[in-house]
Amino acid sequence: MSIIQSFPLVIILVLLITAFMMPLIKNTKIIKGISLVSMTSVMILALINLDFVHKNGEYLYRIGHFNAPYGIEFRIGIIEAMMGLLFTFVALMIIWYSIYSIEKEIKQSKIGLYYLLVNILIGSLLGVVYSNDLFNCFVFIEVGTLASCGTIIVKDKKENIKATLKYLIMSCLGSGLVLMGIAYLYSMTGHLNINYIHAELVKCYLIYPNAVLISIVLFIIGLGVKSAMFPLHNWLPDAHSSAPSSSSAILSSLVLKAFVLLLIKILYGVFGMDILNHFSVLNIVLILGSLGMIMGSVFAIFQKNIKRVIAYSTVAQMGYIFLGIGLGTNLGVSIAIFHIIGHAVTKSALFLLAGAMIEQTGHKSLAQLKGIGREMPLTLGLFSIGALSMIGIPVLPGFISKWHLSLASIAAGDTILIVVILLSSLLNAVYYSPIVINGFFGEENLQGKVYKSKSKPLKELMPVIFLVISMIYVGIASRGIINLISLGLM
Amino acid sequence: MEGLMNNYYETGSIILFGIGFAILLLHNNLIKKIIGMNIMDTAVFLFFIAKGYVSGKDAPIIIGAHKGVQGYINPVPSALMLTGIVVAVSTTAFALALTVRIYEGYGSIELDEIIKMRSD
Amino acid sequence: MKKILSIGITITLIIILLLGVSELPKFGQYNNPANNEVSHYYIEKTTKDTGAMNIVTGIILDYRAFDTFVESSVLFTASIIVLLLLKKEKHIQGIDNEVTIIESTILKQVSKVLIPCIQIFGIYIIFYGHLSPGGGFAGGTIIGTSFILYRIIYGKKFTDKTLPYSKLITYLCGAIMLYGVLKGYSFITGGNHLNLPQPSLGTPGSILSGGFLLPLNILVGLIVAITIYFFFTLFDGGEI
Repeated sequence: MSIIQSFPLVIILVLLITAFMMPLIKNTKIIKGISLVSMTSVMILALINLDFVHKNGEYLYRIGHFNAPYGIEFRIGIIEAMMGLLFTFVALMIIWYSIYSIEKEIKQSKIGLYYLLVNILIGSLLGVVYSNDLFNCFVFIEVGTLASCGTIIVKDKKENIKATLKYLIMSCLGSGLVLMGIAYLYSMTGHLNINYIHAELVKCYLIYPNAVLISIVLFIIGLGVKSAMFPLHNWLPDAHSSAPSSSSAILSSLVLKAFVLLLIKILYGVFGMDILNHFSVLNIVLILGSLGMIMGSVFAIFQKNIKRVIAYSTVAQMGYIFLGIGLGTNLGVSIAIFHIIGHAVTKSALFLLAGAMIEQTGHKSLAQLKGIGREMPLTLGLFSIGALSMIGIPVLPGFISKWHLSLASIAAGDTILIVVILLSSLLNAVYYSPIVINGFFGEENLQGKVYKSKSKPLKELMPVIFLVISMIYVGIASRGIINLISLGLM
Repeated sequence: MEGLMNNYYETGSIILFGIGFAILLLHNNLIKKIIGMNIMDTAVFLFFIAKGYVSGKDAPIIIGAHKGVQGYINPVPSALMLTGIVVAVSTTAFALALTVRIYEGYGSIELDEIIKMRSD
Repeated sequence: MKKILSIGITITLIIILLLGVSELPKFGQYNNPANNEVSHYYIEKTTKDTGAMNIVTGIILDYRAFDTFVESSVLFTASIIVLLLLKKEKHIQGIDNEVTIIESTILKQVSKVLIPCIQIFGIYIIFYGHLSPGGGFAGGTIIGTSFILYRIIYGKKFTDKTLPYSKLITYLCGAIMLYGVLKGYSFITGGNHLNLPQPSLGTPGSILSGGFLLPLNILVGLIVAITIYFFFTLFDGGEI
């Protein structure tokens, strides 16, 4: 028992307690300092924890004085430790960027409450990832939903309020379905801890075939609403495009991923491969994932607002993750988790850069952002590196995910999926390249623009540069990361 | 069919869940949609709490001598649903606050009129 | 057309869920899978492990205390968000155009007797939460209701002097921070199997028993009372 094993609990407690003291402080500079210091310290704790798990293997940590199943416990494996480091690192970069740009988007008196909501949001996402108890995960989901709606509503415009109402009602529908699924599972097995439910279900699933099938479908639809699975994604473009730019970055890159991780934990930890193959429900996830990949990109082509383009692109990328889950093999799930890591760093950089462009020029639509390459060269250069990763250029993480997904689908015997993956890569190129090409090239675009007239100072773009560097690093070190993930899934 | 008649509490809660869902889909008024959401949540609580009942036993509070394991109902679902009710109250309060702001911004709480006014 | 589609979806949903219910174990039987060794352990050992006579309070404040901590932060987050949405800045030399002062002697005189009785009842439910039905949530709601009654009868300006916003938000943040620190100490010493001093369990049945249970009930009651009072004042005009 070493003190490092308690670090996940310490991370969540530090984030929540520093959030609770923020309404009492009036000076916004001190609040920004507290937020930065708390996020840096939890990132260092997550790094030490990942190192410990890598050397010593996974462990179970009980909360309080009672062992499971009488108390609650956390299960920390390699995947959970990696996700902890990823969430805290991306959140630190986004908070660092927002220190300079948040005053232009929300009122002065609401800045303290904004940082409170960001801390509570990251704490609840980490709780969903670490916890090994189903009802505990449900309560963390509720905190996450409320806090993420709060980060959209800080900007006081009418469109924000309408988008948040739609998000809140669909999210509550999803939570109600998840709670109904937990109720079915409890009445069949009598436990709430994931390992104990699995042990009981394997013995008795043939006695209640309908009830087990219904609970699997309830979990898939309930968590699918919250993580933008294809036909249930209607809330996403409005919510992500009207929020302030740092909120959109957190929402697109981190919030959806925590719920997909919970779905992976439930499908493979609670139910297991035998039950899933007996009922063959993974085909639903496969089909909806493929549809999402294609239809998300098709909708993105018709959008005129740059933030809506990036939001619909998120829907398409979540389709890749659902495709990986639906394949049902070890390689498929490993690639889904690798895509979570790659997409988190890429999409947050893209949203922050789009926010910088909108803030400096005051325009949101693509037609008015032509020729911006001459005015903000560094910004558009970083944006084009991110766009290349989304399209699928080798070395960058987007290509690695698509390549391995094709390999996994050949191994699983569904070769038609390779056509789907290629088609969606082409569609990605169709809507990302005009932004880059119109920004840098074309005589009528560049007329009248002064070089570097609107570019942001370098110190404000540092966090985005770090995110892009980490994206390239994820691409280069991809083999090591995928091996580590497969080790964690054993 | 016989299973449904035996588990009449669960059957009732599923029908309530369906009624709440229908209210959420059919009505245009935002306050009625929030009421429908509340009915759905309450139906799930009823489903869960009905799991804890054992016929003929007492409530799980020890008064005087302890009656042993055979004397009390299952305390776990009641404890879980205490948390659930608090969460439902918080979400309803947030949704109602959003409705107040929509009324101040758009002047109406009927959803089809708000969608028509979207271009403002 | 849309109505028929919605009713069709609802009826399909009900039939599918009912198919699942028809297979579940029978209602109210003793040997359900839900009545397994976990619930037997809770019934037998709660008094010995935690010192509480009310088994449900023992579960939510000791065995599954992490759930209750996260649920208190749900309440806190909801009240912060409603504050963000509905709080209006104070008018300078406010022109009282929406004054709702009730000029009734009967109400004022009766409330002077009734409101303290309500508050004493609420405090009793909080303090005896581990010995009889109740606990922090129910007692906190009752005390919050007494604050709301006070505000309705005596009007906005008078109540703002007795219960100002700055004092209430300090108590709210202080209560939930103290809850986090106390329970964090208990979690970390338990999880790492350290044997640091814990509050004593006392004799079951007396009021000062149960280790952390009595302070936690009081803190939870304070959080719930202030949250309910905030919800009322913010919906009633937005000025605190």
